[in-house]
Amino acid sequence: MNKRDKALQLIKELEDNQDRPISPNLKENLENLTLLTEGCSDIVFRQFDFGNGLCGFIVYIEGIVKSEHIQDHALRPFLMHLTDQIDEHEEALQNTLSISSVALETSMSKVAASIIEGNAVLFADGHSKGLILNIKGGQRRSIEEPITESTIRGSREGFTESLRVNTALVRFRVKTFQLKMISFKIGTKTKTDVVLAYIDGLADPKVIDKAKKRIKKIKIDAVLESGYIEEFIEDDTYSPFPQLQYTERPDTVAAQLLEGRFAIFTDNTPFVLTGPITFWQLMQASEDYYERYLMSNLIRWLRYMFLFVALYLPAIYVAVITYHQDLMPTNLMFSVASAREPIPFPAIIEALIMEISFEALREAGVRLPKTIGQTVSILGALVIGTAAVEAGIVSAPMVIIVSLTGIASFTIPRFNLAISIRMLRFPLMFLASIFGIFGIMLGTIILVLHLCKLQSFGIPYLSGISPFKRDEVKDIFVRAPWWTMTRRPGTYSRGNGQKGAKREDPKDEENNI
Amino acid sequence: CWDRTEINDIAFVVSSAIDKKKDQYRVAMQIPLVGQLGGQTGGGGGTAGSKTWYVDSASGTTIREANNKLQTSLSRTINTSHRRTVIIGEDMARDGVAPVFDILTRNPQNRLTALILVSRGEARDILNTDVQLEQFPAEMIRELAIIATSRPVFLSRFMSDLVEIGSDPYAPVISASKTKPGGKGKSNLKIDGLAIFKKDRLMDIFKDEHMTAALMLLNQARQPEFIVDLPNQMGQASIQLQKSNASFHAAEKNGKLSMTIEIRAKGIIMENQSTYETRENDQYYIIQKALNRTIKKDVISTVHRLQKLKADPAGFQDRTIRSTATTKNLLKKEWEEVYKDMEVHVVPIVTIEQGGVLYKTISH
Repeated sequence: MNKRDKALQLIKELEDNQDRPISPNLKENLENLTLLTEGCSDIVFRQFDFGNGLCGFIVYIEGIVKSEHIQDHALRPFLMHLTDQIDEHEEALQNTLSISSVALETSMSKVAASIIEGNAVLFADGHSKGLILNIKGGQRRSIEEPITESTIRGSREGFTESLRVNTALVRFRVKTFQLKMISFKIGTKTKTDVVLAYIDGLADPKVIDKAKKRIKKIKIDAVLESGYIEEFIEDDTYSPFPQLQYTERPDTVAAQLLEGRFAIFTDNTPFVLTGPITFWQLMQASEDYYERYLMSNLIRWLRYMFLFVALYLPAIYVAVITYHQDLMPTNLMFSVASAREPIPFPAIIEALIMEISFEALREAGVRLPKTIGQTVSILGALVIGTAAVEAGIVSAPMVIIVSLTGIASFTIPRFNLAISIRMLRFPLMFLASIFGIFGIMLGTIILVLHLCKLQSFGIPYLSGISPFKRDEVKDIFVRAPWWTMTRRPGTYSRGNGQKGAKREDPKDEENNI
Repeated sequence: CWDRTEINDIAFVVSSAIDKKKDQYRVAMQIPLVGQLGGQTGGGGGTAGSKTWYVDSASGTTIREANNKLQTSLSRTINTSHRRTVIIGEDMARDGVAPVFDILTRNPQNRLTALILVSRGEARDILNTDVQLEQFPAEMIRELAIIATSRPVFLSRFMSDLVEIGSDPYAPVISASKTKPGGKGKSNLKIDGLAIFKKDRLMDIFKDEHMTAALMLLNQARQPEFIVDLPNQMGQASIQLQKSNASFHAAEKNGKLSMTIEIRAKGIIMENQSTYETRENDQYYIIQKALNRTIKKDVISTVHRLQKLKADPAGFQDRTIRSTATTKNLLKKEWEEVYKDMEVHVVPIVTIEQGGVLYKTISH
C-alpha cells in the first residue's frame, strides 16, 4: 500500500467518523497527520522543544488562520509559563493562553475537522489530547456596497463571503435575543456552514420546522452558493417563478426577519436566501420603504405597469398586427403598416429575431469584461437598432417594442423575477402568433392558475390578494405611510401582530404649548 | 394560424364611394399605399409614383358583388375596419340608400362610427380629388365631415334617425371644387350643403342660410354666422353665435299642430360696417334686434321648406308624440297632413355678449 492509498484510507476513516484516539506518542500523531495532509502544501507543522522535556507541535493551514496569533497568543505565553500540566489543569491552561476560544479534544477525527475549518491544534508529547486554538481568520473581501441592489437612499453595506460577518451585519440591525441563528453544516466535502435565522415569536414555528427539516435532508457533497440550497428546499423546482428571494442587503434581510420570515445564510456567498415569499414581495424594492410614501407609491405603480409591459407588449403587438388590425387607431395602423412594408418576415419571426438578439446582447453585457462591455453594447445597439432598420430587415416599431420591453424588464426590482418574466414572454408571443388575443388570454389564464397553485413553504404565492387579506393590501398595491402600518402581515408572522401605534399628529404637541 | 393575415397582405379601405348607374351599383374604394406613406426606404412594396393612395372601382348588381369584383383585382385582402367615411352619390341617394345600409351594418368588420356623406354629383369623383392639405382625400373628407355638424353624422346616428319613427336622417354634402374659379387651379373638397332625407330618399340639399338655419334647428350648428342687414341702410354686420340651442314646444290649437321653436344663443360681433357703436347700449340693441329678426326669418323659411318636402329631420313628429300638450287625435291623422298644416312660431332669444375690442368703426 503506497502513501497515497494510505492517506485516502485515513481520510475516509475520519470522514466516516471512525474515531481514532490521539496517541500520547507525539511522533505517532505527527506521522498520522503528515500522512493525512500528504500533498497539502498549505499545511504548516510548527515543532518546538522547550527543553524541560516538553516538546510538541502546532498544526494549522496557512491562510485561513490568523498566523500572527499563534506567535502572540499561543507560543509566547506558553514559553513564558513553561507549564507541563496540560492535562491536569485545564483552567490553568486556559488562563495561560490569551486566545478567545480554546478546547481540548481527544478524537483524531474531530481534531482533523477543526484543522480543516481553520483552527490551529497544539499537540504535546506525552499527552493524548489535542488543544484546539480558535484562530480562524484569513483574508476575505471587506464589506462593500451591494452591486446588484444599489439604492439611492438606504444602507450602503452589502453582505460579504464570510458567514459570521454576514450574521453580524444583521445583528447590528436587529438587537434582540429572539433572533435565533441555527447552524447547519452541509456538503460532505465543502462542509459549508449554513445558518437559518429567524425571530422567535414572530416567525411561524411550522414554517421554521419545515425549513429545518428541508435543510437537514440536503445530501450533497458541495455547496458553493446559496442557489444549491434554494433548489433543494423550494416547493416547486419546475415552476418558472422563484419561491425564495435572495438579497445582498442586510437591511432587506432584517426587514424580512421582522415580518416573520426566515433567512438562510450560506458561507462563501454574499447572497442570503429569505422566505417564505409572495409574488408581491418581489415587486417591492427596499427603497419603497425609505423614500416618502407618495413617491414610493408612484414608483411602485410604475413598476406594476411595466411588469405588464415586460410580459405582454411584444405578444400584444404581434397579435394586433397579425389578427386584430381593427384594434389599432387608423393613423397608427398606417404608420406601422408603412414601416412593415419592406420587411420580409412575418411579425412573429421579426419579434423573435429582435427579442433573441436583445437577450443575447444583455447576456453578453453581463459576461464581458467591463472595459469592452460598453463598446459591445453600443455596437450591438447600433447594429440591431439602426442598421437593421435601415436595411429593411426589421421594422422601427418592432425595435421600439423590444427596447421598451427590455427597459420594462429591468424595472422589476428582483432579478430572479425579472428573468422569469422575460422567459415567459416567449411562450406568450408564440400563443399570440397562433391564436391572437385569444392566445394571450389563454396564456394568462394558465399563468394565473399556476401562480394560484404555487406555494412557498406552504404560503400561497399570491397571498394577500388570493387569498385576500385586508391587512396586507396596505403593502401590495400601495405602500401605506409607516405610521399607519401598525400590524405585521398575518400570512407569515405569528403571535402579536402589533408592531407600533398610529402616530399622534406632530402638530398637536405644538398647539398644546 | 388559419386566419392569420400579415399587415402587408391587407388593403385598408379608408373611404368608399357608392354610386348607382341604372341597375348597377358602382363601388369605389380608396386605399392608401402604405409603402408611399413615408416609412423606411429599401425593400419592395408599393407602386411607382408619388401618390400615397389610389382608387379602384367595380360595378355589380349588388354592392357585395361589386366588392367581390374589386377584390379579384387586388393582391391584398380588403379590410374595411379602418374605413371612416362612406360617400353616397347624389343619384343613389335620391333612389334610396337602404341597400347601402344593409351591407354597411351586416358585416361586423365595418365600423358604425364611419361618417356618412352625400356627394354632389358622382361619389367616385370625390375620392379621386387630389387634396392638398391631407395625406389622402379620405382624411380630408373625414375632417370636413366632423366639423360640418357639432355631432358628426356617424353611420350609427344616420341609421337610428332612419329607423326611428318620428325623425328623418340628414347628412352633410360634399363636393369637389377648384381653388381658382372656372375649373382652374388645384382641386379641393368642400362641404357644400346639408342633405335632407325623407325616409331613405334624398329630397333636397339645403345651402347657405337655409343650411345654417337647418343646422340650428337640428342643434347641430357649430358657431353659425349671420350677416345681418342693419336698419337705416347702415350696412351689414357679421355675428357669430356661440352655443346656439333650439328647444321645441308642441301644442294643439283647433285640431291643428303648432310648434314653437325657441332659439337661445350668445353672439359675438365679428365685423361691423355700420357706424353703430357697440359701446352704446341703445345702438347695441339695434344690432341685436336686427340679428334676432334675421334668425327668425331664416328659421321660419327653412321650416316651411321642410314642410313642403315633408321631410322631418328635426324630429317634429317625435316631439309631438312625446309632448303632453297634444292629444291623440292629432296622431290618428296621417302625419304628413298634420305636418303640412303645422303652424310655426320662432322665438329667438339671442343676445350679443361681445362687441369686440373696437367699439367704433374705424372707417367713420
